[in-house]
Amino acid sequence: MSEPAVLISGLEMQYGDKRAVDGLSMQVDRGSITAVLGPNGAGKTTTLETCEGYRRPQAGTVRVLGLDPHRERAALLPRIGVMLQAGGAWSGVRAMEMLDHIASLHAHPLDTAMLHDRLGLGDCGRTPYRRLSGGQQQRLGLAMALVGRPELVFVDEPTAGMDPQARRTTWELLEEIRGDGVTVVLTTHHMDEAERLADQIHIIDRGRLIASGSPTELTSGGRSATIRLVVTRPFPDGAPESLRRELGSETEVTQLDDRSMLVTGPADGGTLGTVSRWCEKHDVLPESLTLGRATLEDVFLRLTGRELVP
Amino acid sequence: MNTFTPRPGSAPLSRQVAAQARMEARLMLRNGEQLLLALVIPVIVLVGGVLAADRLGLDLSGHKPVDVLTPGVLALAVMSTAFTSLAIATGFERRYGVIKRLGSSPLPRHGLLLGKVLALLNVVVLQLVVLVVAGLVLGWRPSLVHPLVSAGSVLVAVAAGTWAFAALGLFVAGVLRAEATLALANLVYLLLMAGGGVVLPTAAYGAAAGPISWLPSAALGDAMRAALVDARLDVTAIAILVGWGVLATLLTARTFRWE
Amino acid sequence: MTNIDRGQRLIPRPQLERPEIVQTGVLRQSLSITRRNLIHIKRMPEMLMDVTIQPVMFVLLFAFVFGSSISIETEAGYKAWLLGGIMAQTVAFSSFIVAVGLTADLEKGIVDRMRSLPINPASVLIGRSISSLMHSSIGLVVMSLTGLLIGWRINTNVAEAALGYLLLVGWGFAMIWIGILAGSAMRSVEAVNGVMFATMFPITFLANTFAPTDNMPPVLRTIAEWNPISSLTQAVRELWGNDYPLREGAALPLQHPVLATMIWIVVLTAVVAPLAIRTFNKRTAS
Repeated sequence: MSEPAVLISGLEMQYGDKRAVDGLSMQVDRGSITAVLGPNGAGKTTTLETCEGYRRPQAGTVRVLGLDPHRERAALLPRIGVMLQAGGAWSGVRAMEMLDHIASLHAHPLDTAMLHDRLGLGDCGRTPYRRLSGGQQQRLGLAMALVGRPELVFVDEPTAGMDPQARRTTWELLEEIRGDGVTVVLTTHHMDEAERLADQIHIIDRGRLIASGSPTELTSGGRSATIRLVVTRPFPDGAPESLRRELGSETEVTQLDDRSMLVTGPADGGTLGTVSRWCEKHDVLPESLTLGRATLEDVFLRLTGRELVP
Repeated sequence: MNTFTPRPGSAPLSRQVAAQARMEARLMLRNGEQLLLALVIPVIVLVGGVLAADRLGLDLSGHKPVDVLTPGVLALAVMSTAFTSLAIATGFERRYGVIKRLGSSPLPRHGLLLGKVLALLNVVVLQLVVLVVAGLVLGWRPSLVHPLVSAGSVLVAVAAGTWAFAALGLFVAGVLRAEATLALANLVYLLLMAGGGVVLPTAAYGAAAGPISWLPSAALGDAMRAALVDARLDVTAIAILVGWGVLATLLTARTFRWE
Repeated sequence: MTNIDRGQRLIPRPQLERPEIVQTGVLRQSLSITRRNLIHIKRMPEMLMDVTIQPVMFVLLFAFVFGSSISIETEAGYKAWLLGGIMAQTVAFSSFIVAVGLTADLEKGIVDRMRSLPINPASVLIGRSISSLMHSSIGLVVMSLTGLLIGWRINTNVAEAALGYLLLVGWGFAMIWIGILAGSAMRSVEAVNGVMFATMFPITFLANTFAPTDNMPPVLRTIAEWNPISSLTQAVRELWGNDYPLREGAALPLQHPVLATMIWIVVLTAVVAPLAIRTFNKRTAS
């Protein structure tokens, strides 16, 4: 049982001119929660769908629970649970009816009433799917992924559209299923979600893996700091290079847009001073200058140079 | 063992198919408006056809209009459910992601199709019962020369017709977008109803009878009329339906997209 | 200059450029929504099937397959006579596309999205009406061209010819409200399809559209002759000179078809439009 739950090597997927996945390799350990992060269009959903057997890899290999998800799909499907990003139910079907239906396709399903309660679906069991709120549809989707008692679940943006209470319930549930030995692969846009839940994080961008590690490894255990600089007028040309020269080699400078930059480096007061002196010297007026412990979001922005907002 | 400890496995295929068929039949019957299409239109065609028959100048070779029209309307009902309703429903299932969702469940693709067909047959049986009663009220007397041959031939025709039209419906729904499927399914239904030799015997179409008799609609209509008017199995018509069934099944298998 | 420069610099600038908000009138808003609906048609040309392939196939089917068994005492014969009926049927079916389009928009939440914009709520409906009229007009052009090919001609003057087209477009306008009513009242596109098909089919076939009413059995004949679609069809045939003298005992609307059609258009609109608007508002308010 030491083989990884998911093993991807050199995966390539292309749609027309667009290269969605470009030589991606990554691994998911059994019994872990692994978060796959990336800006929109980075190839997250395509990668997940290849693992779920919906798409055939154009190059490279994918093994899920030791099986080829495309060729050995019939053997794989009963062992995994899938939560789609949206939809997945008839518009007129009642919530509980849908869950019972998916349960009836499995040999040893969970008690659907229990699952229904655990996800806080409350009294909407008889509500037609189209009348459920976005958050309720998400929770029903998660319930459908879990009901067959899978070894591995793929959840695509599980808490999108949920209120804070429902998010917390969902997180606790995901932590509990990991505790019971289920492997979880999730994609998310919420850094706090990844930081709280994930044992392992893979950041992908433009179809490639650009960073991997536990949340602590990725944020350097809080030893590094970030400064976010927002100014009133667009930066002069060559601003990031000039600032980088002032700060020295231990610091990284990323320009996010024409009026904001992100500085990541050792957590000391000197960096802040240098940035502020640089502004004065170059006649740049800061609108805000914030210093903080490097969060996962900062790491993400530094690596991808892009905001994560959908 | 904890609550979520993995214990994967699929239910036996027969149980999965039964569950899928039950679910689909329940949803079809809940969509009452779609049943209008399945019941109201054949009834209108039957009543209108019987009332207007002697003015249409039909070549009925000495049979009462209602005796010829009722088998045709039964064929129309099979066509409306197996083709139009199935195509529209499947088109929207693709749009809503239902097909994709089921695609990641243990239910295999042939299980899904089998479930759909079983659900379809449920609705078809319901339709046939209503239309047979309507026909009898209007004075229909099916041929009772060889009741067993008639009944057997009807079963064969309904089975072959359901197969051919369901495969064609799934082909359309698997290739086109939901709205386009809806538009095309309605169009084909209207055209075949009027000009496809399903309600009226192909002989009524004059010179066009030759090509029309190759249509699946005409084949199903002819097979039903042969069974209920002449108490015989129309082997040619059944062969045409099977041909369409094979062709459409191959096309569907090659082109059907999950999303 | 330096002072002004400095002064400007002290005003905090917004982070994002916002598009300028322009006050627009209902007309412009409606036209924008019309354009959006037309773009939809352009992206999905399949949606034009109901005004192109469908009527052309019907013309061919009835003109060449059934035409031989239906005799019409006019010079140009059945084909020319038939065309008015198929045009009336096509226009009547336009309510179908309005209803399906509106329900699809409501189901996908697009109407809610549009209503959250600073626009007059009526523009959603007006936009849908204009695009639907254009949709039907495409059908009328296609039909006329098909007609010309198979020997249909307008045998009257320009004014009467134009009035014929005007009645068809007016009918399309009245049908839009029926479409909006059905589209707002029903839950799903499938439901709309079932109901619209089951009503439009008998209404357009139990009429003088494809076969003359003279030979129908009494009950059917009465229904068909009082059917509003028959008035429209008869009016168009008369105005284009494709008709033949009515038989004895034709129902009143068929004796004055132009007037009857105008009354139908006004009455249908007056009755259905308020209902449709109320249903639409109720559906989108919740």
